[in-house]
Amino acid sequence: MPGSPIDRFLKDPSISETERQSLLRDFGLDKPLPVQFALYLINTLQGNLGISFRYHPRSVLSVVLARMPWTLYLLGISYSLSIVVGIILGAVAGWKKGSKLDSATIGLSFITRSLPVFWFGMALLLVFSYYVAIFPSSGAVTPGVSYGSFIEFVSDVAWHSVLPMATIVFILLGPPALLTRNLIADVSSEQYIYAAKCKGLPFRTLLFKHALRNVMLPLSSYTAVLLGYIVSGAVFTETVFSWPGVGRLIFEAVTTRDYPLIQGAFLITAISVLLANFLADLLYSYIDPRVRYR
Amino acid sequence: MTIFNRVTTAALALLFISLLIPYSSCVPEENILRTTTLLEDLSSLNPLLGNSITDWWIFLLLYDRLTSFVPPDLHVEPWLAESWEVSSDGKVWTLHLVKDATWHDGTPFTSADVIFTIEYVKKYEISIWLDEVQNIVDAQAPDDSTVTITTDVPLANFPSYVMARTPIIPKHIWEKVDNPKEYANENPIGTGPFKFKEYKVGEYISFTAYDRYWKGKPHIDGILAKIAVPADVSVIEAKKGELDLLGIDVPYVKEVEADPNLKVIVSKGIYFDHLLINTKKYPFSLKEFRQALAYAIDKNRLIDRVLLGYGDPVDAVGSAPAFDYWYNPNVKKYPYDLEMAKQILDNLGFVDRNNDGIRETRNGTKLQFELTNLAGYSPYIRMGDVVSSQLAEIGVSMVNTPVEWATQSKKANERDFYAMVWGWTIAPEPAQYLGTFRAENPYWSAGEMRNQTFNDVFDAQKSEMSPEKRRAMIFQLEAILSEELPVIPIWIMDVVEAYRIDRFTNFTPAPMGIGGIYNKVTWLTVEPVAKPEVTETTTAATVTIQPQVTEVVPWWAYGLIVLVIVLAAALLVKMRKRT
Repeated sequence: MPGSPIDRFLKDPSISETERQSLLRDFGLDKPLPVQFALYLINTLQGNLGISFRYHPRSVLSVVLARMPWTLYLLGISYSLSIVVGIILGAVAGWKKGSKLDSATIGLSFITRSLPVFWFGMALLLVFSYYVAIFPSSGAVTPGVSYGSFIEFVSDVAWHSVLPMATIVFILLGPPALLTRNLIADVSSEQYIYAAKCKGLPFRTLLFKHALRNVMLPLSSYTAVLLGYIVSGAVFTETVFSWPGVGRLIFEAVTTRDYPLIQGAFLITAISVLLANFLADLLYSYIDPRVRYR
Repeated sequence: MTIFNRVTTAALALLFISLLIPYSSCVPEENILRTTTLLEDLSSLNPLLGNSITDWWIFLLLYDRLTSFVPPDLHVEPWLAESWEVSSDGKVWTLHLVKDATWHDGTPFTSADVIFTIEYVKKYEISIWLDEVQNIVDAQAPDDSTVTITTDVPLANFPSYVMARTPIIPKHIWEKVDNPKEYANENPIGTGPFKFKEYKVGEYISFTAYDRYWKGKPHIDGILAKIAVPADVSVIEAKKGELDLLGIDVPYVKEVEADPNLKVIVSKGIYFDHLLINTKKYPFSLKEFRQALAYAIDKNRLIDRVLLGYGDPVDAVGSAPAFDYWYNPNVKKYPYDLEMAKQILDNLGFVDRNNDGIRETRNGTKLQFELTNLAGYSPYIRMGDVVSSQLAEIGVSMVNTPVEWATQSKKANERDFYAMVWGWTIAPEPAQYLGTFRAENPYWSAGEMRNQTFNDVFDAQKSEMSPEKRRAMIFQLEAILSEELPVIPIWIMDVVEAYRIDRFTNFTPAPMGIGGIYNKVTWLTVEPVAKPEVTETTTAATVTIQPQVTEVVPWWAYGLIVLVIVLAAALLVKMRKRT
């Protein structure tokens, strides 16, 4: 059980010279540094991200891909919820600028964004998994259980998802709420809104059909960039809740010094952020026909 | 209501309802012991590849070796080899194997498996077991339960090294594997007390008791180890009743002790923490200087302050107090004595010539050095801080400098340090750690002490077949090391664990703990606490799950993601049309 961090890396104190040499050969660590770098570039371009030190001989790509769906599921839903709730909250607050709701929203946004994720996660865990034991404290599934049907599997995962998702949604409420609030506050003084008000349109229609539509552009760019972090953006949450996703994989890789895995995971994250930005550009021109993508 | 609103409402309602459906159609069996591997996922189910602590614990359950280390002090006892004789020249071993051992798939275990294992490891140069078998020149099986092994030199540690470490693998399975270094071994078959049941990558691994185990079926029905549960969360789960056995950090002891359902067990550790000294650099090259430093370090105070008392000071360099057969109680000791330390330094001519609190050598060089430490590991960092302040009192300034593991490793390799906070596992077989002082390879040799007597005695004990004589030699080696001090010994941390006394009892403690990688016996002695009525969970018992490793993403997960993207796109289209 507990062991020193060196224990994990030094396999065996009595490892002989022959063993060490054969390991070095396996990982190509016996070649000169420039050669290693060149090999790395060539391999990466071909999609070969190397072999994980710890899960040897499994490739980095297979290890990361195997865990990705869990993270995509967790963050996909959490991000969407945080954006939707944030936008609604911010829109109403911005519309009623200066009201108590407005100041409450601003305050809440700042507080939630400043909270450390892992602390908040642990707090939720303590309250809702220990003191009031409604939700499970770790994992994505209940260990050792076999399911009678698919629905049972889905509900088991859903039950396990509540706390991690609540953590992420709460923490990420701030930015979209503040952004929307400021945008709506600006737009609400525009002429066309005044004209629509005079037409006697109800509040909800005014806000969501007229005002919000026109501030979609900056909001969608925020969404697109956030989407880039969908691969590894939940390192702390996944670690606290033992969620078997890419975030926790990175955490474990760092603690066990699995360098190929760390590099591979970060590369995949960087690529997904770039892709997301590209998508954001495309989205601009689609949402607003006045903008043309050249 | 728009269609969108209706769909959303319906989806949310469905989600809410699904939360209410009871999810467990199968209650986990009563007598499955649930534990955790803390932050360590296993790296491989292949016993020829897996090299992390978690892997070795798993192989302890699944596979057997020819001998085993047995509590209370991990001495060697027969296991798959129930008895043996060695020839008078010490080179030919005749092993008598147990006759009723079987593999998990029912095939009988025979001498052919042992021969096969040895030859297979040699043939494919399996790096983690190569050293154990490299001295074997011949292995024969005169009959199904006898093995004759010939070594090139007499090996005193044959039972405690060669026989105790290499797991025996089944011939009928591995003879078909011609690429062991890539073989995942997803359904491991061994002769061990537990069979592999299921492994959900990143989540948990589970085992069932092997009912035909040759030593008798274990008293518990199975083991389930959750993977990568953070230490804090594991304590919460134990208090909730979801974990039965766990390792705990020292700060949690009070809280755990307060819980009436949990009991704390403290076992001696085997990880030896010390100051690795570069004896090539002046003044660390002077034995007296190293001894002065040893006198100035108050080990007991260190243990009280940094480990809160959960550790033992080490005096005999080369062994651990846990292995009291091998631990020499009569070596030169360095009890905390500031005056003695100061006097030694004075005699060496190291005096504080300019009143800055730090001594200088005769030609004016300050005694100020970097104490290389490991970043991110707080017991070492705190130890470094306290040692620093203790040595400052005798006028030697050791600056506690934590560096990244890769940097520290490089410095050790290139001997680019003066003193380093370091640690090493002391195996139950003493020659393993002592051998690092004999080795020529700079990375693995500790302190680079070159002492001819040590080398001669070490080489001699390798072939000393008389246990008493060998023990005396080992004691002599420890005495030399404790006199020369190529490393300054500090402590060995205790292993602190907790278990639920309302669920299981009769654990057998051993050095490195109940969950330690050498403690096999405990898994045969642990039993469920007697309950007045055992609930028959027939559903769980009769469902035979094919041993499986699940991590391949189910095809529908990708479909779900595509569906979500399509829905989002449709939403966008709808919104745009409305503009």
